[in-house]
Amino acid sequence: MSAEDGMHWPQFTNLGDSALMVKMGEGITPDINDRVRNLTFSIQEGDIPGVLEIVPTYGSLTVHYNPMVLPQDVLKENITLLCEVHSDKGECKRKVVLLPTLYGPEVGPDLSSVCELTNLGCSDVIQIHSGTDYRVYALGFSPGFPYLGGLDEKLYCPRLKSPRIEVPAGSVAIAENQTGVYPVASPGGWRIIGRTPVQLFDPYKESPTLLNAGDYLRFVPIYSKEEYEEINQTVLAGNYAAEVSWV
Amino acid sequence: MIVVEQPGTFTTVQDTGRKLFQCVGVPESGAVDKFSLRCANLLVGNSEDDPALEATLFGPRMRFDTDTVISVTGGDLGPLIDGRPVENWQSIPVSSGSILSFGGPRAGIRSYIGVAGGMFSESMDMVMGSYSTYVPGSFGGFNGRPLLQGDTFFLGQQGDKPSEIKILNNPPTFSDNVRLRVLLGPQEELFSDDSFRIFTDSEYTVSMNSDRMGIRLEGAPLRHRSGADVVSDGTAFGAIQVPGDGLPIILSADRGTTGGYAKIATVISADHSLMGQLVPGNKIRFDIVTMLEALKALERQEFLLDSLRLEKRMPGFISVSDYSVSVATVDGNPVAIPGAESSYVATVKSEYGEEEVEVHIKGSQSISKG
Repeated sequence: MSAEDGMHWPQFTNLGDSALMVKMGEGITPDINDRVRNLTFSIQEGDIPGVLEIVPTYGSLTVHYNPMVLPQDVLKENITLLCEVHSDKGECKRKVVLLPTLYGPEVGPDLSSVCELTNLGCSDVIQIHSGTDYRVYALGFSPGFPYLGGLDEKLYCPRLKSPRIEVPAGSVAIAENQTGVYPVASPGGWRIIGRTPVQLFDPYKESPTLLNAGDYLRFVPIYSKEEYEEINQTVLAGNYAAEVSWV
Repeated sequence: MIVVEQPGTFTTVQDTGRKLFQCVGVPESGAVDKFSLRCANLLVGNSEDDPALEATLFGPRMRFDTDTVISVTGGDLGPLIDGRPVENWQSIPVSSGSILSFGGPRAGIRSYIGVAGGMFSESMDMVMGSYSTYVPGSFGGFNGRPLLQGDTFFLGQQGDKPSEIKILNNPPTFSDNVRLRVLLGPQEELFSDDSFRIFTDSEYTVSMNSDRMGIRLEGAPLRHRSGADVVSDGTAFGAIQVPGDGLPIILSADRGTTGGYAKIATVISADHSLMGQLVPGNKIRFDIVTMLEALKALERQEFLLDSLRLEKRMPGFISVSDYSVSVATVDGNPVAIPGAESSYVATVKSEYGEEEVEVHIKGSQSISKG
């Protein structure tokens, strides 16, 4: 496949003798990520014997395979062929997952510093942050953690100088040109501006993560602690179903 | 029943890893030394991907309330039955009341304990298709945590209890000076030219800050051409990432599924076992090899386990001899060899009926019953 950047994709590199990295472009753009996603689906559909697992990321996918069953040359040929056949999937509808989020100093201890750093009022920060559908480029770092793209430049601000030892699960945060949600409590250096009661990761569910690569995520402001608690109770009872909109 | 009288330093339930969920950020986990775990299972007649215990540094003390057969493989942590030393890499019959304990590490750092029929507990659930414990996420294995004193297991249904002692021939040996073979990539072009000389000519020391996520190394730093960061991409067991300080980290079983540091090389599969047995303080050197060398080494290692697999399925041993023919036979019955493929499944007929066996062929060889 020849892309508008003049380069030929896919490009293959070895990640050891049992994994192949397939690069579909340079940098972080929705187009490149679309190619990654389309190829991921194609390989899955292709059901190539010896392919064990496919991990899509921003601009590349990692194909884990059994070299005793599937020679690397054959895998590369198959992938190159799939790229040619499926190079244009066209536009499809976006799956947007709506994530109710409580913004504010009580659950977002860094909201005030974000306001200072961006010269914006609290309500502006909330409006801008919740006014975008963020693309889930990939999941990684920790189970269910979405790498989101599309943060408004007005909200760019640096990481904390020293990371917090524990960031509560559900924390919504900003760092540099990224925004994200912590699915489980973990250390972290991003600036926390709010929290969602919705679980992004539950190891015991058949589909353990709320989000998948290629989805979009929209933060929907909750305006009271009571509403947050109400949703939280539904989540804890196991009765919460995330609202999804197709656009 | 099996009772954990002392849990040891860090003993967890592991299998060959959690598949198909790396795409949503769930680490693979599983045994750090999967070769040894698979061997522990095969020695007691289990499937090689069954769960077994991974003991780290100081092993557990466990009491068996049933006659059974166990195995201890991997690093030599000084296994004892009722206080008397027993051999690694073989099946060990134990009688009711016996106690398995460990004297202390002598070579390597992780031992695998297999029990015929497997070990189960109400506290053990298959999570996302695997029994592996992922301690940072508190799920999998035994309540998502390392074993504690008083934990108990019951034994799974024992198949045909191995009637004779099974031994792995030519098992790996673990020393304080390790050479790890690597394939360059995926991002070797991001390193300065002299980095490759430094990487292969210098000796690295395994840091104390090593765990199931990664093995941190101390020694000569490598240099990036322009920064250590890459757009986050996939990782693999054995991938060697190099952050800004230039000190390599070898990614292990509980590694993050994606990473944002340049990866100079990846340890070949055949050396994952050696890698999984690295002890803080060990000295290591890297040798760059070709893909062909990596695959040959892997084939040789898989071949070691084949004797246990075939023995499990077939009456008596089947061994591979060195003379070359185009059609192999087992007990006089021909089996097909499709082209130059290195492994295939053959149907073998014997007085016990038909059985499918996996046969690995290197070059032109034949199999015969020995």
